[in-house]
Amino acid sequence: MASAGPSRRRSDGRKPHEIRPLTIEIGELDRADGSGRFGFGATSALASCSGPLEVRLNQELPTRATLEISHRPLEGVGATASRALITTLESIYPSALRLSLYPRSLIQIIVQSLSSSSAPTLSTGRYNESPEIYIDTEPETTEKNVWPQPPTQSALAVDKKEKSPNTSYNFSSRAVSINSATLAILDAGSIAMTHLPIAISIASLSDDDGLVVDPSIEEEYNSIARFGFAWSFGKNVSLREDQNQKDSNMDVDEEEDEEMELIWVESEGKFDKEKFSDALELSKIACRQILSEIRAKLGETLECKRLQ
Amino acid sequence: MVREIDPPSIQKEFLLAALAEGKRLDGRIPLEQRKIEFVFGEELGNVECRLGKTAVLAQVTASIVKPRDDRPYEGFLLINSEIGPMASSVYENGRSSDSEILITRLLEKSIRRTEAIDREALCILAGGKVWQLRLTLHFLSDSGNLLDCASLASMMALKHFRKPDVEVIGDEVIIHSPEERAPVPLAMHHTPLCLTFAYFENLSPILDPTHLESTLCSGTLTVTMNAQREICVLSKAGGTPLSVEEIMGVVRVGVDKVRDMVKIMDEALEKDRENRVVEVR
Repeated sequence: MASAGPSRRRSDGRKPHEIRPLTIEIGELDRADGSGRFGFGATSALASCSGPLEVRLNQELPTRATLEISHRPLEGVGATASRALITTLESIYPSALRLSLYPRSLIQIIVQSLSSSSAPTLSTGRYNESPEIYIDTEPETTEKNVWPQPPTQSALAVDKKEKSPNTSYNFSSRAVSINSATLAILDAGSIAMTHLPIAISIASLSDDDGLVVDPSIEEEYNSIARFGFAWSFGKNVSLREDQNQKDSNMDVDEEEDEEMELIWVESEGKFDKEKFSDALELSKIACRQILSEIRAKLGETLECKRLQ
Repeated sequence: MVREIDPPSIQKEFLLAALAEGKRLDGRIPLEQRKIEFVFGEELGNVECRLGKTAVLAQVTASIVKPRDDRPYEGFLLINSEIGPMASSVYENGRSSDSEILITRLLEKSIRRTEAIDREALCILAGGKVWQLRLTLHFLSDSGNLLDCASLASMMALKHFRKPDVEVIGDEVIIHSPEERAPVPLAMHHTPLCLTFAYFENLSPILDPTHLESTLCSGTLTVTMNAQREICVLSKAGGTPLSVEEIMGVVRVGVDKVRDMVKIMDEALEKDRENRVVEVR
């Protein structure tokens, strides 16, 4: 993999801080209260949100709504990777939604990944061949094709918390899941939000190289450190919850004086403090950019609805 | 447990009155299907099928496994078709309702038991290595007639999918990456497709019921047919009894419909092939 640093261009022609073209679609599913599709290039997710609904008696909470978040992987059935993603979403959304307004009800968020969970899709990564029967004629690409992980990759990934990319979702998949869930809740419009979480992934390709925003699957696979950040937008987001009395749908037109707060951070790999703070700053800019795109799209959708 | 709310009786009366005049609420004639649309994903074997507002996403993946000892020449086709709450809140995760079981069973019958896929062609090394295909269905939106939409999506995904080319030298198997050799399509015997008809008492049957129509109807009948005018599966699970003539009638209609559907599928595939680089030679 050629490093993107010197040429200041990445393998797909993007600048280091440029995000892939976004796909934002709102309200395409008929039977859910709200739905949203969000994608960074080919990595995308579809989410639906329904609620408040009738809740099963044993899940009923007297003071707040029961939030049910589920995830479906593209291939097969949900496993550890899926569960990890749900945990991430469960750490973000209870604080973003005003669940106490809807006691004894159910709010469902379902996220459907639309891109595969196995990270290296370089050449044959999609097919799970058994390594012992794999023979490649080109020696340099052999290590990319072998499954499970080639030794060079595990040597790079020295971090103790590091899992092989095949067992957990890559950071851009996690980011699109968060963003699509946000879109779905926004589209439903039936659940009051205190703030709007928006996520981005950032990767560090090598020690001396700069950071890249929204890494592609290959970039993430070849990176030495990966970060996922989610920023929450909204007025008074940094203040206490009870002072926010408005629905996020209302601030579509209010561009200025928005506040943002970090709501989710996940990172893995080898990085120092400086790199982390650089990534944090970059994520701020990228999330703002995504927010403005979502705003534009949401404004459009609402306009269409009004015309009908 | 989210319950479905029954449609108001005024809506029911209106629908029945319209049907008596041979009209449907969405402007279709009784034996007309909603518009079929296919959206192909980035990868081969990833297809989203939309039948009106009903949407099903199908994904096919392949891996190499050891065959069963008693069937050393046969590959596998696994179908994952769990309906989650995304389709509609009445479906729950990990708890399958009656209608869900009915849909998945029928799908299984119409895809696997009709031998749509030549499973012996999935064999690489007899008794040693065979392809295992996994078809995962994601029910995105249940706006009525999930089954027909799912069968369309499944067949389309199987037709769209290509497995990597393999070469066998003695006991050694070489899998060629897509860059090296063009992946090969699956060997298929035929294209069985489901068609669901809904019955109302004293009225002629309608094809492809919407969600409202299927909640109000007195029974449904699903026929799975292929373009060769063959009936693969016929399922009438309960509901009002039907006369033999009525069943023969819908089967005759079905023959033409399935032909049209296969034509739409082939056209969509052809269009996708033009925009996609698969061949490398």
